[in-house]
Amino acid sequence: MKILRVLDSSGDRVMSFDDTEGTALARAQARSLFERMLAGGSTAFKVNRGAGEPDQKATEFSTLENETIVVPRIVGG
Amino acid sequence: MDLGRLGRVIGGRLRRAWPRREAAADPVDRLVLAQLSARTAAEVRARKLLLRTLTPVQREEFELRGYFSVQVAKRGRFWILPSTVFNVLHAETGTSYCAGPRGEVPLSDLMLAQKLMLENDPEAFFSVANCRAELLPGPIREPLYPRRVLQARWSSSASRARWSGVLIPPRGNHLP
Repeated sequence: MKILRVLDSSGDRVMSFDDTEGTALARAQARSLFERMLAGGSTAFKVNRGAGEPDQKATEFSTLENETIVVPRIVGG
Repeated sequence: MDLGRLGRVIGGRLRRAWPRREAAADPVDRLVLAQLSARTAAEVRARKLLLRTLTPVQREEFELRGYFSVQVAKRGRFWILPSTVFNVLHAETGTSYCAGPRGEVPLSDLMLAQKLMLENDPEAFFSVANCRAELLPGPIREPLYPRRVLQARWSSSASRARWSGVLIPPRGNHLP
């Protein structure tokens, strides 16, 4: 199961999906959200990749791994 | 501070603020209580995610001191402090940077977002971040710098709080 987390005021919003037919709707919703967020200036990172692999920026939904964190657009404070 | 202790501290403060159950019957009290409760839950959730995402070294630093460092390619080491403004501190120059996700997120989410951006997309972070020099008196060894910056900020806000606590009672014949 893959997890997409979007940081927000509640901590984070989670969407779970995998490549099976059973989660086709959830996967489509996650893809839609992922692409919409990135188009709006958010940045996504593959995290907790196992085996000491460093986090990595993600730009394609098809390359997502077990866990992805989407950071809303960064602005100067 | 571990999550259990964090929950107990916040719970204790809430109980002291609302010592009697009937006090929460006031709609404003109920609203404030609900907001505090939601924020606490969000912070606990964000803290768990942050701890899970930090490297072992960063987690150890964070649990020991409340802040952690990140290595940024071609720029050196930065400290991420538990503060919502100007909390990214360059270890060598002492310059602090301020940038974070648009919209409100818990403090631990802010720190996590900054870690991910600095380690994986630093140019995007620095292209929007505001920066300022931290002014501290006297020479300070680099490992102590984050703690001194936090101490300076806390003492500064405490002195502001003391001044704001000074009340000058209005005199009736001078009221507008």
